Amino acid sequence: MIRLFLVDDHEVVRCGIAALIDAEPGMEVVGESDTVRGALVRIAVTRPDIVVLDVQLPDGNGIELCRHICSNHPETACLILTAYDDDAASVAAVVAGASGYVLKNIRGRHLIESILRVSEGENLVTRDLAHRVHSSLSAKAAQSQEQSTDSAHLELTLRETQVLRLITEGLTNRQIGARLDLREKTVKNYVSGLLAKLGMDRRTQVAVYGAMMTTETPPPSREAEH
Amino acid sequence: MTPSSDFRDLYASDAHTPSRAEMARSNHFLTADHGLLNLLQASQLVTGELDVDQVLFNLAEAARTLVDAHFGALGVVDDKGEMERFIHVGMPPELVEQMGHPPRGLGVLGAVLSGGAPIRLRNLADDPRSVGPPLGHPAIQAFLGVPITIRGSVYGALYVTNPSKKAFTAHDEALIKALAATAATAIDNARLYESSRRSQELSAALGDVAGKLLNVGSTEVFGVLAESLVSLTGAQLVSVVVSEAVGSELYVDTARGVRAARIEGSSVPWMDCVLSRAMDGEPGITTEGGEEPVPFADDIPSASMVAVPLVVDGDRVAALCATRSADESPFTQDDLALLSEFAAQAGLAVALAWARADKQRLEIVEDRARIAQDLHDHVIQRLFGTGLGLEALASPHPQLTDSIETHVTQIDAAIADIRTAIFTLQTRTGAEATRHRLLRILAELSGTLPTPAQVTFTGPIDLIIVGPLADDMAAVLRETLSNVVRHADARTVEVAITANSHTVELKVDDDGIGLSPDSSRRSGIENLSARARGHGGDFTVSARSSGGTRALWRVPVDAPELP
Repeated sequence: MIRLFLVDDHEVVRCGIAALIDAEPGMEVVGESDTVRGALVRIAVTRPDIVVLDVQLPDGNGIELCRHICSNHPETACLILTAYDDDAASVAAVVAGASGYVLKNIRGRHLIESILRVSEGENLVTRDLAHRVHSSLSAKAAQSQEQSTDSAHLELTLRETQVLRLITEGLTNRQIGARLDLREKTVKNYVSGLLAKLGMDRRTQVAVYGAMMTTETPPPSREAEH
Repeated sequence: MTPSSDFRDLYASDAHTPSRAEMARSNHFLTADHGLLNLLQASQLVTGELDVDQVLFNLAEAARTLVDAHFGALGVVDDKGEMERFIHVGMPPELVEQMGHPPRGLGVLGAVLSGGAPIRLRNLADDPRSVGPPLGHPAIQAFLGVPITIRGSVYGALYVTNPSKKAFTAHDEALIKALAATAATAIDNARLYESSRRSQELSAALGDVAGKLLNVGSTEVFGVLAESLVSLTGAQLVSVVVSEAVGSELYVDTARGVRAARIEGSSVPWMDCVLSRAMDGEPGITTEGGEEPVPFADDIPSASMVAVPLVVDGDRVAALCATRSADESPFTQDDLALLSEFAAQAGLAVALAWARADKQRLEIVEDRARIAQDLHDHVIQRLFGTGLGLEALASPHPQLTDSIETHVTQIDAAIADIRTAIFTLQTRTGAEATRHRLLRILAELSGTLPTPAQVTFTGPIDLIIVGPLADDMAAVLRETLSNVVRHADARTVEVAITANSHTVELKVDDDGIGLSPDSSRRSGIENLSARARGHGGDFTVSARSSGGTRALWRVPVDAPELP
């Protein structure tokens, strides 16, 4: 029996997924939460096989939640379920260290199939994809640096660059700590700082990925209008 | 009734007959009185006028009649003491024309100005300072020149001359001196009036500009300034010129007035002229008959031009430039001062307008972000949840499966559309994501279709379609779509763009007339095939079973080089 835990702040979504999974033989929902805080507590208790979670949650960032689960419950896999497009979802999955992502599409049994594959230990985030995400994020950071006149807050430090590279290699916070000889707590801070620098922690932003690809910058310069 | 007849009446009413001596004395008195009378009339004529040009002309004419001279003239000098204007009276216009350039203020004319005292001569040519009359000037002998002094500085001089040796008297000199004193007051008043009228016009124009700037888009700001300047400066042409840097080409951003349509959008090379100096921060005015090139001279020949820098928020953003055609009076220092004052005030108004436009743009961005977020947070989630619920109904009610599938497909399509909408609503900066680039081409080209093209994206488009592949994809989409628009006569067009780690695919389906053997379209197809082959892929065009055409461009994706 595959034991699943659902994290999504929309009850209608949790109900729908629960109905879908319950109708599927060999799967069961062992718990649900609509917040990061609730998820942390209940996942520690229920020890599910797979957590299906949205990256945008009312009290925090699903990406950090996901990284926390991977570090502290290595036996639990995470599957990101998002309403954003493939690009945003890919970035989120790679940065979060999830085993894969599923878009919120109804047809096609994607969710069920992905759950089955992940439960067999498969990682749906390929090295190829992780590498593309890494290139894209690095290019983005470099570009922000070039464009911004007050680049100080956008510039990635050497440590952050190292952490970003290890994140995209699929390492958990604990593994990164061991690799860089840092405490896990310190790595967590670097990750939070990275997410903030890349604009990924802003609730006000339209999308996790959108926030990154479309940073809040002043309107186009006047020269452009002339 | 004139005072002189009053005097005569006075004498007549006296009971005794006047002696010869008395007659002579009264004649002299009458003559003197006649002069005074004329002076009074002249003063009235001069002081009653507020237009400087008219005042000057009246003065010259008054001087001539006052002393019964053949020719009269009035010269005005500029700040450097050079003759700026010279008004002839009593001279046929064609002669004035023939003499051309006004006298430079040399010789005796200049001596009146520099000496600051009247000069009265029986024969002009006898004076050692004389340089002789200008070419074409009728011969003159008797000469009287009186300087006009305003607030301690020489403004100009009144000149009267006669061709004969009939010399001017000390009495004439006293009259002209008196007239010159009145003239000074009159000119001063007229100038004060003129300057207050100008500042009134200026503040009215600036008020108008500030009001308009609050109501127009930020791109029309220069147009508002230029329009206002045309009427304020009495120019034939006003242009707003920008330049990327000091020394680089000057570009006419906005032009208003004569030939504006020709001049707007044109470029002028950076050359040593008033325009370039204004761009460099120095207001200026063209010198009359100067050697310097005058921009736009081809369109407004031998024109006079003033130009000042426009400073907004500490940045020199443009030069404001006014041009008068050759048949208008050239710009003066007063015009330059007016334009400078206008530019200083307008700079503040423009800064405000731009700040306001920036704020509006920011509000739009925020508004769109909010809409996108609402779509994501509420609309998609509900559709998704509802769709899942609907799907769950299918197993207990197998007879409904087909119908449920149809509905669920529709809901999924709606979710995909909303996802694209969210993407479009996001503000983009920096390098354009491939998805945005493709959406922009779609929006641009589907304007001519009966219904906008439907588009679906599948897979991580931006992560996989990068670099040269993205360029080719954009070119292929553009070419395929414009083929459909031009030749297919289609009602609906569906575009599907798919990317996964192995393949990238662009599919364009239309319901048009199908593929014709039209050669121009064939060459387009060959071009698209070549682009596909370049990536090791292929391009096919086939007839759809439901009618219309399917164009499919498909290339394999190389795995990125792993570190």
